[in-house]
Formats: sequence, structure tokens, C-alpha cells
Amino acid sequence: MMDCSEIERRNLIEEYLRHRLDDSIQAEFEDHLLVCGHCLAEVEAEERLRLGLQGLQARDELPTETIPQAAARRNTQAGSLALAWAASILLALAPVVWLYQRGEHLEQRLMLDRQQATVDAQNTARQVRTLEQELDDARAALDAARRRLSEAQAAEARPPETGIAELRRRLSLVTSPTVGLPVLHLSAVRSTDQRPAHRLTLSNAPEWVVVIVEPAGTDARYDLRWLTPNGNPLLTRKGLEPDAYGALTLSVYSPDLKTGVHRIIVTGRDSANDVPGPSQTLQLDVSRPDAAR
Amino acid sequence: MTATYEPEQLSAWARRIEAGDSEAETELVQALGRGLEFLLRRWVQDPELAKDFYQETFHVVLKSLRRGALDDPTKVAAFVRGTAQNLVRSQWRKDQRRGVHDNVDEIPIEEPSGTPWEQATAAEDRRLVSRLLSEMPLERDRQILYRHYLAEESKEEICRRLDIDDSQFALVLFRARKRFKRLLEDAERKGDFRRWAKERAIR
Repeated sequence: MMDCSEIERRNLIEEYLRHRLDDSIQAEFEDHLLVCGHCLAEVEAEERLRLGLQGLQARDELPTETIPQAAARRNTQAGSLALAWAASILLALAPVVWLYQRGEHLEQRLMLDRQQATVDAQNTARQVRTLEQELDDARAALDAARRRLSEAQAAEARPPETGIAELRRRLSLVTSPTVGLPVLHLSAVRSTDQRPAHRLTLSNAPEWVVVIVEPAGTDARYDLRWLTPNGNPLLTRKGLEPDAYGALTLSVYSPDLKTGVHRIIVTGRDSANDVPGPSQTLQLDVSRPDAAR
Repeated sequence: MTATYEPEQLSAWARRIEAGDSEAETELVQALGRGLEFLLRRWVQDPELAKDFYQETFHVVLKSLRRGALDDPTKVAAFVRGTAQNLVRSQWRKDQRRGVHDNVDEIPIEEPSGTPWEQATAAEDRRLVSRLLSEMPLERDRQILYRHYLAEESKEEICRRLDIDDSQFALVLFRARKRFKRLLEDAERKGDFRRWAKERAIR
């Protein structure tokens, strides 16, 4: 919707009175006139002035004083004595006139300077706001970078961990007070036919969990079967039976288990709402010597 | 009276009118009346005819608002303007069919010749404008008004002739216009502008 500042900025009053607006803009402008008394008053005054002046033009009734030659014509009609008298008056008044015109000029300049200063101030305020925003963003980025650096330095300072030891440490951190995500412990075992297998122990086990194992870096999932001790698939509610201490021991056993880095995704369930809780992704390097022992 | 009405205010009026509030009708007419009066006078260039269209427009608009025919109540202003425009165009087409006008799509912008009395007063007004223009104390004011409004010289040409900067043009014109309007208002207060005063007294 059109507003007063747009009308002033685009000089729409004059364009309207000169019938130079496109139909759509004219309609918008006239809609604004209906609801804006200020702009309406401006248009009315401007129209009166325009009609009055154009009425003169149409009927050759121009005031002679508007024509530059008028002054010369008037001078020739005056007597020489009057001219001399007028000249002396003019000479006497010249400084006054000069000062008046100078004052007028300075007043105009002052008004223009004020307008310019207002615009400059608005632009500067806008730039300051932008710079402040950029500064905030930069500070946030710097804080994040510092955090990452300190984490990296802390990780570097820790003694190197490999295979199961590292995974065990990381799994033990998987807790969730709100949804009861289990703490996982992993240990390497051998299956009865001496193929590598992994045992996953869940203490603080919730009602049930979903565990997915897939090779890292690919979309394909292993056809691994996570079985409970009694042979039921892990992913069924029925098969997940914590023991008397709230712990659940699971074995990973699969002839398809290959060496390499695997991703283990553990998702707790919010038993109150029966919706998925937060997930934790861990990596297991099966090729490590301790992973197969 | 230079009030400005927001779309929310117009929308509230529309809802009240639909609910049967006759006071809201009066308020709406008072709010938009002056603007509509101006538009109609400008479109039809005849105060008496404009007065008829003014009544007819509000008659149609209020009838529609009472039965809630306006989909978007915030667009009451556009609805009023559109209704008035349709009525004027419709009348114009009827006149055209009767052979009054030649061009059906053009709303007349030329001033009608008027009665002898009106012609006499118009001539008197022109003389007054001529006198007021010549009475302006600053030659530059006279020059810029003459060149801008009458000679329709370009901004660049006027700046060159009057030796002013491009950036000063708007301000110089604004000040000249303001001084001339003041002279006009003084003359009007003294009762010199009968025709314009009569035209404004449309209702």
C-alpha cells in the first residue's frame, strides 16, 4: 500500500496532476488520497496553483514581470531623472539586497545541509547496526572455534586409546536422564566356532532400545543379528529382558561380520510417550586386534 | 482536517456497517467524503455533476457494505474509488451512446465553458493570478514558477537559466510555490477567489 513518504520520494503529486501516472499507480495514489488528509491537502493546493497558472498560459495573460525582458522594457519607459534617482537608491540598497539574497542562499544551503545530514545520520545508524550484528556473529564464531580448539587440545593430551578400550569409554558416556538411554559396555568375545564376535552389555536398560549396526561411510547395512541370550532378536520388545541388576548382555554374532570401521547407532525410547529419544552414534573398528579377542 | 485512516480503521467501519451500525456509516462518509469529492471533481470537472456522483457512490458503497459484499474490508478505499469510477464511466458511456461524447474511454479533463457568470469570474481569477505572480517579491520565484508550470521547461534547462544547482531545484521550486500559495490564500480570504471557493463548496 502506498504511503506519504513514497509519494514524496517519487514526486507522485506532480506526476498525477500532469496525468503522467500509469493506471495502476494512479489508482493506488487515488486510494491513498481517499484516506490521507495530508496528501489530499497537498494535491488540492498544488492543483489550484497549477490551474491558476495554466489558465494564464491558455489566454495569453502572462504577467509581464515573469518575462525576463519585462525589466528592460520598464526601464526604457522611465525618465532619466527617475533612473538616476532609482540608481542612487539601488546603490544605497545594494548591500541590503545582497545581504538579503545571501541570507536566502545561506538559508537554502542550511536546509539542504540539514536534509543531507539527516540522511547521512540514518545511513550511518544503519551501517552501525549492520557492523554490530557482524561483530556479534564474529564473536560467536570465535567462541565456537576456541571451544573446538580446546576440545582438540584435550583430546590430543589424552593417552591414545584403541579399539574396544576407546569404544567402551565412549559407550559408558551414553546416558540420558530424560529418556533412560542405556549405558553400553562392549567387550570382544569369540563365538563357539572361533569367529570374531562382540558382546554388548546394556546396564540401566530402559524398557527397550533400537540398536543398528552399519558400516561407516556407506548406506548399506550389515545383515547383523543382535540376539538376546535366549536367541530372540534384539529389536523386539519381548526379547529385551534386563536381568535382576537392570543389565542386559547381548552378543553380536554373524558370519557376515567383516573387518573395518562400523557405525553403531543406539536410540533410546521414551517409554512414557513411546517415541524415539536421542540417538548416539559410535564407531567400532573390528579390524583392531583387541576387537577380535 | 488532515486525518489519515489506517486499513484497520476502515475494516472496523466495514464490520460495524455490516452489523447494522448507522453511526459507522456516518463516520465512513465523513472520513472518505472529502477525498472522494476531490476525485470526482477532478474526473468530471463539473461541481454539480460531481455532487450527484458523490451521493450515488456512497449509496452504492453503503448498500454493499451492509450486506457484507466486500471480501477484504481493509480495501474499503479502493472499493469506494472503484465504485465512483464505474459510475462515472457508466454515465460517460450513456452520454456517448446519446452522442454527447466521442471518446468513451476518456474521462474529460477540459474545463467546461460554463455560464456567462462563470466565464466572467474565471477571467477575473486569471487576472488575479497574473497580479499575484507579478507581486511576488523575488524574481527567481516568478521565473521558476513560469518556467516550470507554464513553459514546462526541463529541470536542467531551468537550473541553467537560473544558475542554481540540480540539488537546489526542488527546494527553490518548493519555496516559490509556498510563497505563491500564501498569496493565493490571502487573496482568497479577502474574497477574491469566488469560483474556487464555490467549487470547493460541493456539498
